[in-house]
Amino acid sequence: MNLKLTRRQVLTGAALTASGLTAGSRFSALANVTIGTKETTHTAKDTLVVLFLRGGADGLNIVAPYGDDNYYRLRPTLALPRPNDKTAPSAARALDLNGFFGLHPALAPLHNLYKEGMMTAVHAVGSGDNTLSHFEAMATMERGLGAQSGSASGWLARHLQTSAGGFEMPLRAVAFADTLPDTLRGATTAVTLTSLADYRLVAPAGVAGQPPLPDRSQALTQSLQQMYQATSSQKETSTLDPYQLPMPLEQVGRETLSAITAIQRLDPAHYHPESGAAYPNAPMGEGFKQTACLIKGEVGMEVAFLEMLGWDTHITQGRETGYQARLLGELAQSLAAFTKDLGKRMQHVTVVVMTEFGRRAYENYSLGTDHGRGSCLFLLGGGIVGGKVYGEFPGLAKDKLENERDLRVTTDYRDILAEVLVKRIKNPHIAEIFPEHTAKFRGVVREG
Amino acid sequence: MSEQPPQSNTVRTNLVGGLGAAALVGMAGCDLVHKQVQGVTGTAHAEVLPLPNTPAAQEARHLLNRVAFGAKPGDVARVAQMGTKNWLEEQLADTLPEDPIVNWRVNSIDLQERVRSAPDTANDVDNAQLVAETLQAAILRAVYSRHQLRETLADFWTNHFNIYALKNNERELVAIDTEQVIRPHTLGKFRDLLLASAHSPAMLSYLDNQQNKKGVANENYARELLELHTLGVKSGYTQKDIQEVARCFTGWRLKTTGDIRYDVGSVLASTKDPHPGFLYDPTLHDDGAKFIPFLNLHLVPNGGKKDADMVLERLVTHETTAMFLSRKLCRRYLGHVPPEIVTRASNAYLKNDTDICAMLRPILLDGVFDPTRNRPIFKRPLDFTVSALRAVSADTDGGEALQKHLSSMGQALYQWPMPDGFPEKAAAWTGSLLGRWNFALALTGQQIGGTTIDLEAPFKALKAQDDADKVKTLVEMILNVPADSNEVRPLVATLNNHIAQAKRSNLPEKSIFAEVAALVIASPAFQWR
Repeated sequence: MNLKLTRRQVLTGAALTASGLTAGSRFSALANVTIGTKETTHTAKDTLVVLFLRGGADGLNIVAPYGDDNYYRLRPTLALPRPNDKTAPSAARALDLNGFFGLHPALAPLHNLYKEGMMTAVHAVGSGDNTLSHFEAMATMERGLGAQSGSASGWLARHLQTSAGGFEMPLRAVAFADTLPDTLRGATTAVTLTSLADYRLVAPAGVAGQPPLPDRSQALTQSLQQMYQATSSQKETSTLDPYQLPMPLEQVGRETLSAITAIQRLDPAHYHPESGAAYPNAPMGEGFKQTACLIKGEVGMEVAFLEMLGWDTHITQGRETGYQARLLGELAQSLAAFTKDLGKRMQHVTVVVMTEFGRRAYENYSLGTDHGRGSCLFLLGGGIVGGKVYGEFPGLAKDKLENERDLRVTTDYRDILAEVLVKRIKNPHIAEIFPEHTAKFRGVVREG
Repeated sequence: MSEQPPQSNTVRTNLVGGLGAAALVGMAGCDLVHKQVQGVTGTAHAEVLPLPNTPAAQEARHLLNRVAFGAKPGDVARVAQMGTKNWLEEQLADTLPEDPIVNWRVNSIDLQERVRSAPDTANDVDNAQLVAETLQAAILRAVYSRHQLRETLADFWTNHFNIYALKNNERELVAIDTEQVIRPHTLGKFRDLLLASAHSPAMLSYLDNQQNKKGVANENYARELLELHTLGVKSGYTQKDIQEVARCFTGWRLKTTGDIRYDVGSVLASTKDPHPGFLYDPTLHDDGAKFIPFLNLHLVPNGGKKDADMVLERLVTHETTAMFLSRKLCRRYLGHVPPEIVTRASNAYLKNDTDICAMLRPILLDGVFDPTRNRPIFKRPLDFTVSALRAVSADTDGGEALQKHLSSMGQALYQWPMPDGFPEKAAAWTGSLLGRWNFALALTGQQIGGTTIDLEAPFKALKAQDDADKVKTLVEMILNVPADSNEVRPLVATLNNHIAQAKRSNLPEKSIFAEVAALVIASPAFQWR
């Protein structure tokens, strides 16, 4: 049976009879709510979740190259003890991955996922930007470039454009951020939220100095429903002329109302994670919980973008405890809870965790690390080829470092993103998404 | 991030103080000024007039939707009375004195003064403020200017020559580009507009021409010059043309001094300099012979700056450019590209020395009124927002509270990253409906800081007493369609139901009609222009 349904079939309900599916099975979360992009649940296309660690995360203390003696020479205070170092407290030791690399102990929850084949890391990843400026490096990476200059739109926006099925659905791309991140610049309909509860009709609560008004959102929603129930105000729609709407505006309005209703029905404020998943009570935990809520709700979300600030660890970044360890703890607990909560659904989700650059190979006098070049990147999901750490690690010997300072970049971050987009997200247009880059696949994910 | 430069208190205080003062001047000036102002579609508080139920009024409505950012209360009646052709001629002539309110409001923002007093390019706060103020000026002009054709064209050319204000540290330059490149030429000669753009420090920076040097050509500007500014994509030129044009533009740069990436002083200093801030550096110019096949243009060695000057002249006078611009203008004003109008507009452009007005005449005078030559046009968020503000005669400062709504609808001005400008395709904007509805509710519910409306005024002016009168007043003022026409009958029924429900919920009278106005603005009918 061909499960790839057209939008129209889904919308008219023709799909239900044609495929024999009933409201109780695949459409359970939204029993009576019609959302156009449900076809995505019928294809093998993964939902893509991108987490950007802003500030330049210290890859060398996240996935520590404990097999390289230079690591201990360069970082006398900060280096994580080897997994088998009996002189160090066990809670301080790196968690072994492959006999050479070890995870920061605060990432213990990810260590389990690594062992289950649900998580992997790529080391010495980065872009060609060598300014060591956060803003230049982030701009380069968020735009999917090799170095500054070139297209100013975001790579995720170009992914959305090149994979659009005719027109933009509400909630196709959601960014949990204060402002639209550069990664999604150019995606007109990317929704920026700090909370899912923000995706709603905002009825005026009244004017200062006067008694507050009753909640009017329901009455207003009803009237909007009536207005957009009418048959088309616009006789001409065209799927051929892009300057005309591909469907009547009234239908777009009904789908928008459905999306609002769907989110209300999901009731994010009272969302109960499954399998006892415990999200940390922190912004990242909240972000991943809401992402899980949207994925389960099948509201047509194809891309979620999250960001985590604070990785610019110039001073007292700490070792197994302290500032960086706290950030890593929040990150790992959030990712682990997300994976547990989604359970089998993780088979159709790919999470990418990336950062604009790594940090100096050697620690500084403030017990921190300065801006560097190569860092590591995480991938999670049912589609990853686990059991190993990817990337060619160039080593930390003086002559192996870039400018005798920084971990060299041996894997272009676009190679990983392109492979994920092609194999898991089913978008072959990587030449448009990453212009002037010929992607080399590393085998990090399976053809889904 | 840790490397935030310290804030300069004096500059910030000045900015904040300056904005407050601007708002005060705007408010205090209103009553005084609008009594003296004549002309149509200008002032903030135009007199509300009953909607005439005549074909002429419907023609005026269509015209104001297409050639203006929508009608203000009473505009349809006034334009119908003076004659749609007369109004169009007045707009094309562009000689009406500007409404003093617009000048006061916009001048009090005084972008260039701010650039002069805060040339510190590293200070992000001030830079962000500049973008917000550039946007503020654009909104104020779109809402209040009586030169509506000029303002719709300013939006059109701003997108045609789009610059992303946040790409490099070039935010000040975008403010200057708006004033010195786009606005002086909106209705002038396209040649002057293209030349100003090609020499614009903001454009040279945005499209990486700083990196375009002899031996290491950067093709970014050359490509977009052909693809977006003049000939149009797939018009027959090839990669070879792009490479050769890029070579012609080697050495075209912006002035820089010392540590500052460009010299703000030189951009603003001289009004006599036709291209302030522009620098041609002969040492970076590729002075070999060049051949641009598409233009059949051979350039002999040592042409210097003239190489690119020659390319620009060939491009502006090329028939392909004329056709490309005509088609694009037809889509803006007709929603459609009727071949005979495109050809006539294109011929008029070529015969009249690249004159934009001449190109517009067949489109506006013969295209707009012919139903067979028009298609529906879905408003972009800016069109929608400005037309809503005009429809309810809002008093707005165009400030950040309003701008936030535009952002959440997906159209933060000057922040479209790609050189092609905000999408013209209707399908790109279908996700913005929730943002539109929330804007409508916030606007009529007085929830937008710096923006207020007075719904009692039209009720008083038209002596609306009962609910039916008030619904009729709002529907006719906002949509300019007779309230008893078939077109709006279902809408009126919905509004009546809504009022009944609201009364049962004991909602105050004022809030009920604020909601009714919001629903009309949120209705499908108001999303088209």
